Amino acid sequence: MSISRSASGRLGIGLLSVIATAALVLPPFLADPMAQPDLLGAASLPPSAAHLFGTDGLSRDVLARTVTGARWSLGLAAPAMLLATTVGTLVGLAAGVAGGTVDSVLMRLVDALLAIPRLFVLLLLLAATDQLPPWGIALVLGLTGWFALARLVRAEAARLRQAEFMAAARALGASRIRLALRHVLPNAAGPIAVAATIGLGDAMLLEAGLSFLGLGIQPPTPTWGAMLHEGRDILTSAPWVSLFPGLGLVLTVLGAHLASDALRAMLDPRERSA
Amino acid sequence: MTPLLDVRDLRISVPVGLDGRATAVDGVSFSVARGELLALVGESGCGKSLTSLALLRLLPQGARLEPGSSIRLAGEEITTLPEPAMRALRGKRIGMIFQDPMTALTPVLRVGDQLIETLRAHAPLSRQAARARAAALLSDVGIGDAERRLDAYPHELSGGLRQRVLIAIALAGDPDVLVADEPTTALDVTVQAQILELLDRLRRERGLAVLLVTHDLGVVAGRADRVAVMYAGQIVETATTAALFAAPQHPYTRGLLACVPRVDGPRTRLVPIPGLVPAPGTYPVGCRFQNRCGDAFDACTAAPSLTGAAHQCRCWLASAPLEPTA
Amino acid sequence: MPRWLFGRLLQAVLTLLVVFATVFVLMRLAPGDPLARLSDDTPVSAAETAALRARYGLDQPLPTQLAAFATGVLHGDLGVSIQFGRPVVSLVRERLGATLLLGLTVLVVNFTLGLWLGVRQALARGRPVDRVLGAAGAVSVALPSFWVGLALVWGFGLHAPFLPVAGLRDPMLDTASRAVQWVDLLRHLVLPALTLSLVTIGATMRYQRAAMLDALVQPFVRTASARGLTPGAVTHHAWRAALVPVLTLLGLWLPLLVTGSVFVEAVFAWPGLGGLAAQAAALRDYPLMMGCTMLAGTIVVLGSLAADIACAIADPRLRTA
Repeated sequence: MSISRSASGRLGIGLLSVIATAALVLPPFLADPMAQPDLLGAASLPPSAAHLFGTDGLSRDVLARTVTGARWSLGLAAPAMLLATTVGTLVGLAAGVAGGTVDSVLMRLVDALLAIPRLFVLLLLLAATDQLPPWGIALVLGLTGWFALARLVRAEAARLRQAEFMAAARALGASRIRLALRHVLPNAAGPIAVAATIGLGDAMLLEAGLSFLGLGIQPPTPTWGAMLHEGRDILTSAPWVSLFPGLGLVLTVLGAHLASDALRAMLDPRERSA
Repeated sequence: MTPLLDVRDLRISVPVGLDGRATAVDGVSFSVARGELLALVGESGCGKSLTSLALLRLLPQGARLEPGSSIRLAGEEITTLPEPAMRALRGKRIGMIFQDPMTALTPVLRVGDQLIETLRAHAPLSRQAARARAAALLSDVGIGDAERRLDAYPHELSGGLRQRVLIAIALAGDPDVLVADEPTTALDVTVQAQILELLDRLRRERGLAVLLVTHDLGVVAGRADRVAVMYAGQIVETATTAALFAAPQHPYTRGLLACVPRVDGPRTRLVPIPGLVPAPGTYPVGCRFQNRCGDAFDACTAAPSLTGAAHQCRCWLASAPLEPTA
Repeated sequence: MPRWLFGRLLQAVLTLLVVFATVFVLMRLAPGDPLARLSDDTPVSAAETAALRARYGLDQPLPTQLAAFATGVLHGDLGVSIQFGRPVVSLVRERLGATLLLGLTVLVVNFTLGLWLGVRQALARGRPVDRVLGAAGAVSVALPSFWVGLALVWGFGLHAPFLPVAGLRDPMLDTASRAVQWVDLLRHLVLPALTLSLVTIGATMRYQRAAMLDALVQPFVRTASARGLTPGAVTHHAWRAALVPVLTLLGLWLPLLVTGSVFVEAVFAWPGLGGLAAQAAALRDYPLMMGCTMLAGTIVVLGSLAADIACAIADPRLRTA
């Protein structure tokens, strides 16, 4: 059963594709997201034919900003997710295949890191560093997002370590690294993919949240979180400024979750027969 | 004497492939009298478990009882009962024991609580009265130190003890009929004998009608009054135990007996039955055993019916082999 | 004390130790100078900066700082907030209650409504009820808590002002009776709790549904039916067996609850730990930030321990050390 067989999976991938495509393709056709054409006359206008999503407090076109925001949000979350996936997989493989003390120490550390809420760690790191550039934010997002994945990969590796074919491979002289890459990784690929898609959604929500608090990407850059930060002051007078970025977040994260669900259903033999 | 449990023409269909159906139990008939133990014998996949589940209307998702099937309990037809009436029957008039005692008991609840719950479901009892009755039941099924065992969790008991608990639970409602689906398969050999002994004793003491479903002929030999052999959804031979073992008529029965090592008599080679049991929907035309039967001949392409009186057999070789009847 | 309980407690303590050490290391290793932003708001001379640096021990080598910190923690001293000038411990203690109140309320909602809906979904598998609830659950998990909060602030602040949208209490009721004050508190609790519940209930429903579906196909459910138990009693058997996975996951969930409160507290000006942490981060208040983080970590570890113990109570097979 391929992922396209599931209706929700199709919806998820559809949402993600539409949003990503819009983010890539649309901006040249829309207004300049940073332009403030008419501060006196065109500020805080509700949605109309001229401005489909309305304008914000500085007379900027909300539609253009929302679509550009998609670029930013996805553009920050995707590398963060890739970094987290890579680090998590490597650490998990190392711990799982090595076993013994290395395994125990690494997993104890991961457990403790998991106990500290990720947001607090991010707040901690952002408090310590002065104005982080966007790549820095993606970096810290990635560096804080690999713990659960490491545990997952390690569990898979530990499980396979017991399997007989591993003993056979070891007996034939296969090195640990080879074992990890050739045997454990393909088996763990499924769960890794599922976790990665969820991780994408998580990274997006966190980046938006941090920007909302004023700690992540700073205005006037139009990430969805920053737009919500700006929109807060004019919430009662111009709610559309906060509506559309949030809606974008919901739809994108929903897409990521649905896609990951469909992936998981595809991999779980029980669900397949249901 | 009217039999306590009378099954006629039982037909059960199961889903096959994406949206097909096949008959897994095809016209099965048998009866069990009060105090009698009937063994229903067959390999896995012959439909005997489905048959036993049908008696309590606990068929798995997708399986259906086909019209024309009749199950009579003390003369009363139960296939047409509405669900609440059927529920009242379960445990109270027909009790059932399942195969694997480990998974048959709810692991997170105490054994005593599960037993007490069943007792109170069937009779208005106070907690203390139910607890006392539960302890008595556990003793009755041969569990020593019953009072303390009531507070145990299933995983704290051995396989044999768990099966005894299941028997106690099955008998909690004081049923007249007991259906035992492979009650000893998951147990050690020594424990098997104990459990069978227990079932026998309870049968005699309470006058139960017992249907024992099993694939193990050894279990049948010492305990059953009568035996019904099942193959590919049909009963192929029915007889008293003595008659079946002394003079088996159906080639399948003979094949089964030949697979069982004997301690008495000369040591002979064990002869397995070639081939596999056909799955529902893939039965050959005519006699379902013909492809594995060493004695098959041209009449076998037409389906034989059960012939005989006390000793019945579904085989052209058993009836007068003159004209094949449809 | 039973062995299994002791073992779990020991593990929790060990994890806490590692948490404390990790927080400290993270803080000190991160690039940047915590005092650099201080002069943004108030002009501070170089001498004053140096004095502050000495006071907070920021000029000492790392191991000395760690030792000083550890000693401090053991004495209940988490340093002094740069921004407020008060001990971190007292600040945190003031705010802890509000966060716990919010968190526990949301937990109760999830444990009652969330579990019930999940069971309903499992029993009605494949039918419209299941699909609708499943869709609602999927959306719930994707909702950003701050956005939902903003929506509620807009809705209730503007159009239905019978529920307050900010703060913990109405200061004008300071002289009113206790009962009135309690009602006031509850009224203020509604919207933040509603927000956090909306974004978390989807996950609870999903876990319970999955666990229940797993339990319903187990052989002991068939045995329960065979005994003549009512459908309600049979469901109870399945639910009891499904409880453990749910409790386990709820334990892993606590980070989410504590994290979620950061945004919700920011939106509703709820004076809790999360809001304090956000403020501390914005103002680069090192000691306060560390204190909040460690407390958050402690809540999570203790919460996981509680969930662990609850699991062992629910499933006796888990009571091994």
